[in-house]
Amino acid sequence: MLKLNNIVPVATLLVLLTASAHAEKVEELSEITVSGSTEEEVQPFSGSQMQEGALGARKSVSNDSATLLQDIPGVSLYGAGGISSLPAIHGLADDRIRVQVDGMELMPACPNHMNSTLSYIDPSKVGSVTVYAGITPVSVGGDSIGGSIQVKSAPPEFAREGEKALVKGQTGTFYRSNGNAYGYNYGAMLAGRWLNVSYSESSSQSDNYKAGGDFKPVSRGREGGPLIPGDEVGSSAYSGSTNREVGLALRHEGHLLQLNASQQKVGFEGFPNQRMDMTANNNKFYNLRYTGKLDWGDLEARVSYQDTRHKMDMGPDRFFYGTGMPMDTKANTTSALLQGDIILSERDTLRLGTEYQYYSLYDSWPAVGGSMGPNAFWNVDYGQREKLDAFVEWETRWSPQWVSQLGVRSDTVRTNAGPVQGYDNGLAGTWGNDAAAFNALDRERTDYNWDLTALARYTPGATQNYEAGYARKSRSPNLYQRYPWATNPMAALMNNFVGDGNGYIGNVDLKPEVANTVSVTGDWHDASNENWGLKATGYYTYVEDYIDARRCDFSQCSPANVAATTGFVLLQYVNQNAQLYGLDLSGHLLLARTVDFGSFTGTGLLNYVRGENRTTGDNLYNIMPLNAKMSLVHRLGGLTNTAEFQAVAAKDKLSQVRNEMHTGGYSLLNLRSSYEWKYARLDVGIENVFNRLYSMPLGGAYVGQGSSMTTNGIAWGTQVPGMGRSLNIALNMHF
Amino acid sequence: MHTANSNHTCQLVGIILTVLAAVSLGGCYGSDGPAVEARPQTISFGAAPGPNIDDATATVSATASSGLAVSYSSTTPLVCAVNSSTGVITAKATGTCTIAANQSGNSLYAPAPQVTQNITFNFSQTIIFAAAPTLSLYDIATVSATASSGHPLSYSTTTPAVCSVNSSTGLVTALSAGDCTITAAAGALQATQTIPVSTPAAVTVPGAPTGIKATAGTTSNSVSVSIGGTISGGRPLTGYTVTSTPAGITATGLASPITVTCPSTCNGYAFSVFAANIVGHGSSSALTDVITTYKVVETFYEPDTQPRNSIFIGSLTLNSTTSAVSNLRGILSEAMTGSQIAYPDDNMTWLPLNYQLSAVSDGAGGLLVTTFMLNTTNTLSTMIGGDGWTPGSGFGLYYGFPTAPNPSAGGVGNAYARIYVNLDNPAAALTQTQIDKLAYADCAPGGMMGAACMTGTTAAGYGSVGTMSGYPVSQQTTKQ
Repeated sequence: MLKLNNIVPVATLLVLLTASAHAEKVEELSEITVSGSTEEEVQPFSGSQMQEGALGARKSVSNDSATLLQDIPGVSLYGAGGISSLPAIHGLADDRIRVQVDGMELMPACPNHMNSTLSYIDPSKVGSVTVYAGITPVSVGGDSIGGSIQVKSAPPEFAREGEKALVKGQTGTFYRSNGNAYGYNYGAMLAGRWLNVSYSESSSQSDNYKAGGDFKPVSRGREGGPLIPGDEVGSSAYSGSTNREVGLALRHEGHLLQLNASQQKVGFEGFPNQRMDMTANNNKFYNLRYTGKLDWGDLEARVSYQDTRHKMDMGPDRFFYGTGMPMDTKANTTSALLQGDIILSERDTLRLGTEYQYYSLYDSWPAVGGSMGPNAFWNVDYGQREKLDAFVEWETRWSPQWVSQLGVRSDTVRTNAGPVQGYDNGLAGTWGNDAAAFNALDRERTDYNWDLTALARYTPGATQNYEAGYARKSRSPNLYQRYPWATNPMAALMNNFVGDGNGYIGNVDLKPEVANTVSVTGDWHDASNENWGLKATGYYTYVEDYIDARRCDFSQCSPANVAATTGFVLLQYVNQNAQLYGLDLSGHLLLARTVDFGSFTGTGLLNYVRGENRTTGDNLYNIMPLNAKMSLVHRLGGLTNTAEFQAVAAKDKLSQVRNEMHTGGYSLLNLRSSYEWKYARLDVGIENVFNRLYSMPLGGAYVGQGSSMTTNGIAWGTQVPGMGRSLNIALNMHF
Repeated sequence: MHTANSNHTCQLVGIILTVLAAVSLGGCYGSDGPAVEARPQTISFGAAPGPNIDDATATVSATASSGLAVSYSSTTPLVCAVNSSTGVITAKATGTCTIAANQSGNSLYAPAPQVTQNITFNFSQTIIFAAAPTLSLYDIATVSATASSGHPLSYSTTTPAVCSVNSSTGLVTALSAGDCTITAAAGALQATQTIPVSTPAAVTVPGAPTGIKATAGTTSNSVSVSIGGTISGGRPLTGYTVTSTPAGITATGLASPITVTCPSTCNGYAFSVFAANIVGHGSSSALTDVITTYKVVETFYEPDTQPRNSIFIGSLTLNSTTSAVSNLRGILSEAMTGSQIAYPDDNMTWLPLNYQLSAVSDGAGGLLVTTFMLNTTNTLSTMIGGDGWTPGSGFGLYYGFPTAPNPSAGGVGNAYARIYVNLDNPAAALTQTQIDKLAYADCAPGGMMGAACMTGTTAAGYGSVGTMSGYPVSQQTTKQ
């Protein structure tokens, strides 16, 4: 297997090759390249697709790949670290939606999901993003009840027959004034007619960012440390974030074999809505993928392996307690896919596939002395999640107007975890009793899930189309929902991947979530879809056994914990029923176009989602309030100017069980300009022009500085604010 | 555009079905990998010791199958204590003493399940009188006895024609010449003391009263003055007069105790007493300060160790004349220890705090008094400033960090509790401002989390809540 230690020499070679090739003025060859992709670029069922060109403005100045999704209808982002936002689709977030990077379903290895899937790919590497916000076909979904997100690198390129070798390179850098963030990326590619070798690397770092004003008192973060200003968001910095990837692709006729080895290393990433920070993350993954266009259709086979070593501790803005509170996690994921798209006839396509995934997790916290010793604390020991899926999907083009898709998927999910221990089981009330109770449980669970999707698209003409669909989708609990066992608040607070500042306790008896969704989409536009367009999607989802939370009332949980209407609390995951419904509206209108002044286009986006717990009557947590974006886009040659106005309503539908915090409504103005030359692109922008102070509705509770290890060490009631005014500039070149 | 080919289609379907079948038969399921789980171990006790009657010590012995050292703890702290490493038990009272043995494991062995052993201690009961006072006719004096069980005694006389006795105070009044026999009883156990009552040779004024004690009264502006003995002068006493220094307060009464009512407060006054009989009044006793013993129960709510809280139970002596507090001592619970049982049925570790080393004014008529486990105030870190103990200082790290060993690893750890004393009315309920000034710190091994000690403070009083979010919620002060 390719070792990442060999990346540097390979990179050096490639860069040298690139430089020499550039000196020979081979850039003209760029016009004779062909894509190695075997996939048709068609708008997916119930989905939105953004190709590299549309992503350009965002990806140039972003260091968080999830932010590339924020202009897609129905998508919102949970705040997390500077490079680790968690996407939510129609109110369902994190592993309720299926996120794939180059076909791999990368797994987080952290009780706080700090190393989220999209943090494993640098924005500069993203070639396309496909979001299934409504009904996800079974060939794309699985073990998820929300939508699906597919992020793909740009496909490998090959020289045409008879032409010289193709040599390409690209490099870029960005700077963000707020937080003094900067980074670079570069890559090189050498390709012949049947071989493609590539290397890319990117790196970024940032200091703490600042809000648009004071949102908390000035105070020290660490014992004896410097005072943190009232407008500075503690624990929002990151450093040493580096992504490297080396790729090898072989093409022969309709066959494409790709081997990619990637490494993501993060030296430090602060999390203002978590009680500790990521002090190291070393993720390596290897992906071997075959795609072939055969006589009978398309075949895809993939085997991938992921190894993650993850460390957390108290960052520089938090109390260190003398020894810190180290938490170490290691996880391995092995997955495989075999899928065939069989062309049965001009009318019918049959997709068959099977997927397998085995995920193992060791989450232990080294002893530091006192009641946190003499042994390591085993949060999840030998956690296992094993999944075997099979699906059949039948797509039929009944007529030029009518297309239907019907799919069935079976997911068998087995989870288990080994026995655990506290720091000192002799401290029975603190650790021992809970550990003994957990160890006495039968912890293995096997879920037999099945999904069904039925979709239909009606296109009566070139100016309109309609989609309607129904889906039954299932998702088994993740290991951190079933197996964290400690009711001691200090431990429970560390198990939280929603950023609300509360502590979470697992529930071995959790059942899979089953969602029933109906979705209807109407799309009206002019024939070219350039002058005007309006798209509306309405949806309703009823989730049986939705995994929500209840107040912990056993073991070390007090009556006060059950009754508290403010403050941080301890919660246990529990199955309840829920419903979500909403509406996405998006549109564009060409306002004017002249030869001298270019075109002026107005765009709009409006999202509304409502989430209710039907068992308790409570609101679901972290549901984005009504929000809208309106932009005026001016294009003239290579110049693009955008004035974006964003308005978000107050969040007052709050989850009472979590003591979720209210956030006020706000509006922002962002200005962006870009200019593209043949070999370069310059982006300049001012975000939050008026330096407005606002709380991010999905930003979570601010626990980013001070004594974050205990329940009330940091006062409850402050939401993580959004970023204040920032001047962004990025320059990217390719040759 | 691709074209359909039925043969290839069948081949592909076959491949997929074959893979599915193989996987579904378990071939692809991951085999059990190595777990971090350590090897189990068990603990066995040796034969239980059988202490003889009145034996106050015994030794238990337990061994772990791993060969690792076993630690001992008493789950019945009112009956016995045990040395955690040697297993030597020190009995405190008659009853069943339960010793728990634990072995917390290491990198190779998992923690062992706790095992317990019961040992019964029996102590014979005795009542011992102090030396008998001298009695002449009409004198009053105090008898005193103690029970080995520590139980309170009640007094009675078997010679009521000769003497009377106060059942609780033991104050005896000689009524006629003869032998006065006093019985002290604790349940069925009794002892007697006989005191001869003589007739004085001459009639005189009474002597200066002795054994004068002045304690806080039932109201905030009263004092109760008790008299331990008076030589009558051969004639029945007609009364007592209490006078104050500074002058201005006088009270009279026929018998002890005498309640003195002060205009607004009795603080700052000392008192003396003289007695009178038909001949006249005698000389005054020495000045006596108003000294009262109070019991204090202070509770810190610990949200992160429920249902156990940090509780200080202690006593103090308040000299209202000099506004001084002394002898604040007591015990402090370690809320991270013990089972999930709340006080008072808990089995938490309780630290003795016997060194009152600080009493400072709060500037509003009260005293903040602090008692320590060790005879030093060094408790919290001075690494980044601070005096080593003031609540809110040292960021909760132990004294000497980082060079000194961690108290949980053999280093020296101190602990303290700070209470509030309302000098005007010690038994009054505390205001929130006063509660905000209560504090504790526990840097003993059972209070350590890494290098941080458990502390309890409020943000209003000291800038933040304690290191485990603990904060004071109440203090009850009652007169003993």
